[in-house]
Amino acid sequence: MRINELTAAADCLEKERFGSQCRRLMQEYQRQERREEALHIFGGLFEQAFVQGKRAAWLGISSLYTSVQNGVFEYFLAVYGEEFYLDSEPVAGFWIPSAFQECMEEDIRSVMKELHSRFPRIRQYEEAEIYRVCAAYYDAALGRLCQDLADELSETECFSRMEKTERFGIFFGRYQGEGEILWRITAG
Amino acid sequence: MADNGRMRYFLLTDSGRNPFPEIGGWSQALDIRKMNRREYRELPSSFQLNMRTGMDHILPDILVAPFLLLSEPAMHVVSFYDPEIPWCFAVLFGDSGKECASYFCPILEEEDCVVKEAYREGEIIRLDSKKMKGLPLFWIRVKDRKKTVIRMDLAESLLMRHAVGMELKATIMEE
Repeated sequence: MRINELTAAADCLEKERFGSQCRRLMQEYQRQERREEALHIFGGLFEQAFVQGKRAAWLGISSLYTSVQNGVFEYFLAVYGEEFYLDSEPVAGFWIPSAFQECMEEDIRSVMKELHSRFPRIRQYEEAEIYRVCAAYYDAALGRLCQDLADELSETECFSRMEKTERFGIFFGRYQGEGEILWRITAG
Repeated sequence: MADNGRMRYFLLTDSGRNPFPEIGGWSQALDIRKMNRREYRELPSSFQLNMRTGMDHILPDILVAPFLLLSEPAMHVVSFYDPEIPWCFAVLFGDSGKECASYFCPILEEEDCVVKEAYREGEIIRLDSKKMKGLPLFWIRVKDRKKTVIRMDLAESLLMRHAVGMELKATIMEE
């Protein structure tokens, strides 16, 4: 099927590009300014959870197909109570991480340009699948960044003030789907 | 930057950039004015439609024109989110007579939640959250035209299952 050929070709092209983009992102997020910007976003959520008197069990950072579909690199952030996904009132927000959007847009433009030269008449539904292929690399990178930020995040004042369960954790994954635990409060 | 609010809603759209079949013969098959929760029982529970297909056409999971039609897998996902939705069964026949496909037509609730005074042609549609019931899939009326709105969690669920034919346009929620 052509869609499989297209996504395989997109994956090869993105793999080639991603190495240099990843280095660029690492450099960006070594800058204190960028890290503080990210911590500020999470801090805002923790602050809101504190104001609402929420007993937080999890902070979830979730990728969204609805955003990728439209070429946007936006994440869903939510502080959940012990009911986890069944929490009907999570403290939530959306986040477009700085530099990620620009890098992904550049990649998509470049990958699409190359694919247009190889595949005639790429349709909208095919484009959406190509976006997903590119976004998967950035999801992995953002997951690592969040893991890297977790210790700093746990030392912020907003985090300390928020009421938490004893085993509060941070995870990264799909919206209301599977995820990876990045960080947890350890006993003692 | 972060944006507050935990649920988003999108318009289901069709940019016409996909090789989807074009549906014909619907005005003879049913009176679409009765496609609403009050009168849908007067519609036939199943009907046949013609589809015009191109050389490289595909049959998507979601067709938005002339009215919303969903494939069986998509129908099951939607029913999981809202079991109250009534459905009509539609069979699409290709011009050649060699191809046919079955689809399901949801009869959705129409919500009067569009912030009308704010809307100008081509603008992003604004929805008044206080007037919304929180349904996962519903119709709104914009300038006498029905449009389908989908809640983010249902859209995510369909996209996770690689539903073909989902084109989304953001709406703005007003508190």
